[in-house]
Amino acid sequence: METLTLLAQIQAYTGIGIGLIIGLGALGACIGIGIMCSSFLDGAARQPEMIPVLQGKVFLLLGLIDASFIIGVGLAMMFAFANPLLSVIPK
Amino acid sequence: MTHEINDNASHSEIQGCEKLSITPGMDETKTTINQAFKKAARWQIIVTVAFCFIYLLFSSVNAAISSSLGGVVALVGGYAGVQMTRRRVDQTAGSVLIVLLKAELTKIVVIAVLLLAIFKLYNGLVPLALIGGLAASVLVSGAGLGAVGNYKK
Repeated sequence: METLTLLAQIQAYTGIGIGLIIGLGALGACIGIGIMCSSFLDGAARQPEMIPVLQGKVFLLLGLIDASFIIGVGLAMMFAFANPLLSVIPK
Repeated sequence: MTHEINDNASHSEIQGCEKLSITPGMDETKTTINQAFKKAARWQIIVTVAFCFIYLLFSSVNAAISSSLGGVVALVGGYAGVQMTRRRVDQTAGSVLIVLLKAELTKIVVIAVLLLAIFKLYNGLVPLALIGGLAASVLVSGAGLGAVGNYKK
């Protein structure tokens, strides 16, 4: 019974952690993308001839900004499907 | 008279801006994104292979396969994003931004689905190796910025 309670506690706290990982990662990525897109629109309005150059940089920087979110999603999936914290429970 | 001159000047400026924003960009932009993706993909493959060898030397075959799967997932996601940028209609700033955001959405969805499939289907998975390969491959994708810096008109 105590093992079952321990398992439930670990799974509950892991669920909260997964939500925090994905939620805070998405929040940071959204703020970064918003700032970069507003700067892109600003630059495009000032110098329209620079749009092709800026577009390539924006595409790569979008990938860099989202890198932390993608890594967070991978970590969250690791905790969801192969939780290493469950190894403390005696079998 | 003065108003007419100013109106003419502003009209010609607007026409100039429209010409600049519509005409020259498409092929150059595709080339720039393709060059950037090629450079980033080259570095991603190098890093993935290096991580695969490191895991093969210091850990197991399953860890090496997991690491290479992480790198491949990031590579396939980036390729899906680049494919989305090829479907664009005009070259205004707003449409460019929408296309880029759609490409990013596609990239994230593809990566998440592939990761989900790997976690569900691969029984001998080493999760830390997978995350390590994925993180290294995603982080090194910024190497394509060097290719954008070499843009020549």
